[in-house]
Amino acid sequence: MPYNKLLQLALVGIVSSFSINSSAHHAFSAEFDANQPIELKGVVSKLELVNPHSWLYFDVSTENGEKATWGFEFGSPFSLKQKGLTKSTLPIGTEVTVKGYRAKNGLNFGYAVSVTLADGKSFVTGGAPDAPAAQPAPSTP
Amino acid sequence: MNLHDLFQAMYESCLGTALAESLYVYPLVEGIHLLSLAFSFGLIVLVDFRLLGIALPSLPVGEMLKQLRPWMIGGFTATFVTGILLMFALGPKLLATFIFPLKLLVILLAALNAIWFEWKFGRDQDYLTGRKDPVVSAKIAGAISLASWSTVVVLGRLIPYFDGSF
Amino acid sequence: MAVSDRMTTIDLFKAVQGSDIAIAFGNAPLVFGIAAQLFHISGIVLILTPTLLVALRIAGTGLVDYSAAQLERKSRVYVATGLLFVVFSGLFMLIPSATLYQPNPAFQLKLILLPVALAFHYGFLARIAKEEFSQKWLAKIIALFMALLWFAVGMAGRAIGFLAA
Repeated sequence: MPYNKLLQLALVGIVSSFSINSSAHHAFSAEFDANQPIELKGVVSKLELVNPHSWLYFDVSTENGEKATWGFEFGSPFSLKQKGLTKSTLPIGTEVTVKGYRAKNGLNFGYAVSVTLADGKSFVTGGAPDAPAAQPAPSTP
Repeated sequence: MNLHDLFQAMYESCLGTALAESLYVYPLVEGIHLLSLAFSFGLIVLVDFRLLGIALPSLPVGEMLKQLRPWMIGGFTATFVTGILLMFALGPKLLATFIFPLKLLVILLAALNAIWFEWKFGRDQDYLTGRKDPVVSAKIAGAISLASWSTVVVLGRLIPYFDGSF
Repeated sequence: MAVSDRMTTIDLFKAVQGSDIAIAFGNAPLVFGIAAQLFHISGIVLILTPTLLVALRIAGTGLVDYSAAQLERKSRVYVATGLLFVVFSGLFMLIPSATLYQPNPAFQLKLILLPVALAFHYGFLARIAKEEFSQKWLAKIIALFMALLWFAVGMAGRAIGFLAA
């Protein structure tokens, strides 16, 4: 037992000395910033409905008329199916509004809390139990 | 074909796609991968503890191995098979950081250590029937086993924190 | 009645999540979250492996050089340590996001299975491990059921992430 724990502590120490900036499942706080809520409107370019977490990619028109591709993390295929969200809900070309939290690395990534279709149909999604969806809205100006 | 191509091919195979998109099978496979540790990792830690004199010191090592072997083999089979399935389901993103390759490397080290132990002590009558205290080399093998398999479990749990999805 | 009970549960989880300790946990560096995960896994193995060995021995296999009662006594310190690990690491993960876990069906199932597994473990395991337990077949059935129950707790826990809202 002591060996086991010492080893784990040592590894945790090593890990903590790296900057952690890649994706994670069940680790919202590793990737996404609860203080950076974000809302984007765009057109679906790709939906990866995969375990353990799904990804929705969509093109957002920027102010200077260019297109920026954003990727948002969603829950498992099972949890999305429970909410009525399947491949046929979000075909390529669908107009969507995605609300969520931006990635800490500042790139065009985020964690989705809800997705709304053009017809007003809305799905509350999200995969990480430690995501702040149910917490009071962050007090960002 | 390099390692990345292999993982890409596994991910794009029928099995990989089916697992990645599955509703129930992937969560089940992940659950079995975790809980089968009770037989694979848990029992090998017990054997390591025995070699180091921490647990069940009056039971001859050979006797313990004989009695636990079918359960350990069953446990390692379950952990290993579900691990391969998870590789199919997750694909090249496992190679995005050093964590998973390092895990494979440490598994190799742990397996070589186990093979060496079997080769050296597998037919030793003192271990099979006697109550002889493990010799120093057996204790070292136990310590290497304990350290390496623990590292494997820790690295496994770290994968989602380093899977480099973006 | 049922509705008011349910409201009370939600209010409790809301209060827990809003507490100072929950906010402190939630703001803890990621390394603590990873450490909690590792303690949780260690705890799972510390509970499952010794319990399985006792259950297997009651079923007549495994470490047959020891009696089931001897193994059960030896298992206690490991299981107790494992429980400490899973409970504290589990609370660390649960408390900052309590209201997200509360409606999760897998979490609710786990909240039911865990006390049942504990009740069986501490209510029956020492008793059915005794040699004088007359109805051996019943002991074997209870032992196997207990092992399955602990696995079910683990599976319910694993399912939380896949059902997450």
